[in-house]
Amino acid sequence: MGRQEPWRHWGAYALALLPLLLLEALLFWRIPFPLAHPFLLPFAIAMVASREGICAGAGYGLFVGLCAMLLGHGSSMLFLCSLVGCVIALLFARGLQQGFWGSFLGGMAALLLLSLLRMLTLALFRGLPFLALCSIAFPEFFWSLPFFPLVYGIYLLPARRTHYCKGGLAV
Amino acid sequence: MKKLLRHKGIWILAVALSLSLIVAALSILWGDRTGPLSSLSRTITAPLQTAMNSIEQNASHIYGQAAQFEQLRLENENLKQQVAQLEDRARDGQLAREENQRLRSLLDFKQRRQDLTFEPAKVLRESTTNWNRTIILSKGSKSGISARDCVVDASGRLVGIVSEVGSNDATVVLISDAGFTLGGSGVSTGEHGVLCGDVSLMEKGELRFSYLPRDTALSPGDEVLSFASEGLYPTGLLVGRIASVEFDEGGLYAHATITPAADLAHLNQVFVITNFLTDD
Repeated sequence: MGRQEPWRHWGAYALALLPLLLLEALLFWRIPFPLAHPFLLPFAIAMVASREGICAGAGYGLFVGLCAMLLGHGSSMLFLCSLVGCVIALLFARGLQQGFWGSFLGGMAALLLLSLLRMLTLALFRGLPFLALCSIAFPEFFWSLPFFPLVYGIYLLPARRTHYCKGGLAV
Repeated sequence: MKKLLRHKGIWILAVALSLSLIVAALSILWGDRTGPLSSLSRTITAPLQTAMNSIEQNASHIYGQAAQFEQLRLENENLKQQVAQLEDRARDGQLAREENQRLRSLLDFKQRRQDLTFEPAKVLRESTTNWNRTIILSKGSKSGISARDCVVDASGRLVGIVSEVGSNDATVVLISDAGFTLGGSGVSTGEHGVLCGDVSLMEKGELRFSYLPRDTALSPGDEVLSFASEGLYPTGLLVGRIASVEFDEGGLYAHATITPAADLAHLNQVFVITNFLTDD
């Protein structure tokens, strides 16, 4: 493995997040989706966590959380995205299969978990009614699912091109 | 031909001279009027002359056009540049006019509310999430902005409250955010209540005015102002107008839905109230 290999590998993952951020910040927000807009960042966390392991999943989750903060998701996303990365990587380590349908399940789990954590955070720290928050979480979940194949395609490219096998980074 | 000229040349010359003399004599005899021969020759040559004249005019026109083409091209380029410059100026003028209007209304608001200290800030971006309604401002603690400062637009209409402050930026929770809370009072009745965001109204950009007396006299169209009894926030900032009043079945309180007075979807420049004088 060359010294440049990890840099290229993680650089490609970082670049793969760019089109998702652009989609969320520039396109989705201008389209009048009923009740909620699609949220693709959890899929990105799941894609990396499924291939790279727990530590890398948590690290990439932290990076995604940082980017989510830039979109105005709030500083709590740093911790929440990192946690989601850990949990999803654990699911894959415990038997969830890689591949499209496995990743799809992982993506769904990441989205649901992140929504649940956000609802709990908002309910506990800002006193918002938990059930009312479901009216945001469910439309967001259903509007996001159709975009999973797009995220899968985007993340498959850096994973295949760089051929970097997880080693020291993964647990 | 040479033989003809050699043998009959003298006769041809004589005939030509005779014809010339006859024509000259006829010209003298007819005076200023056009003679028959002249008329005949003019009749014969008129179409030819017309055609020649037309060709000459066309040729002259084409030549003239070719000569002017380069000049016109340069003139066109100059005019295009001038149009672009004028469009730029018009755009600048429009922006300046809008800014002027904003500053005029702020000046008017400042004269009405001399108890408030403002810090102007630009809106860098707005949140693009389903879960909150926030904006990021271009100024932070270095400009004297601190958490819980109220933010208004140029007309003094409440936009939101600063929630997080960096040294050069600040996050403002808009009044339509589900987590927004502030005291409010109806202008027409003086009734107090709690202005708070609502998850179900967030998508529509509205907020709720809760804990109103059950027999509230507030009605749609009434204005609602900010109210803070302990001096935490400035009072009297226009929040919005009542859209509808609802009564809970068997509840102790009534609540109203408020449409914000500020245009929260198109915020470019806002003013942070960094300091205010309390009645105490």
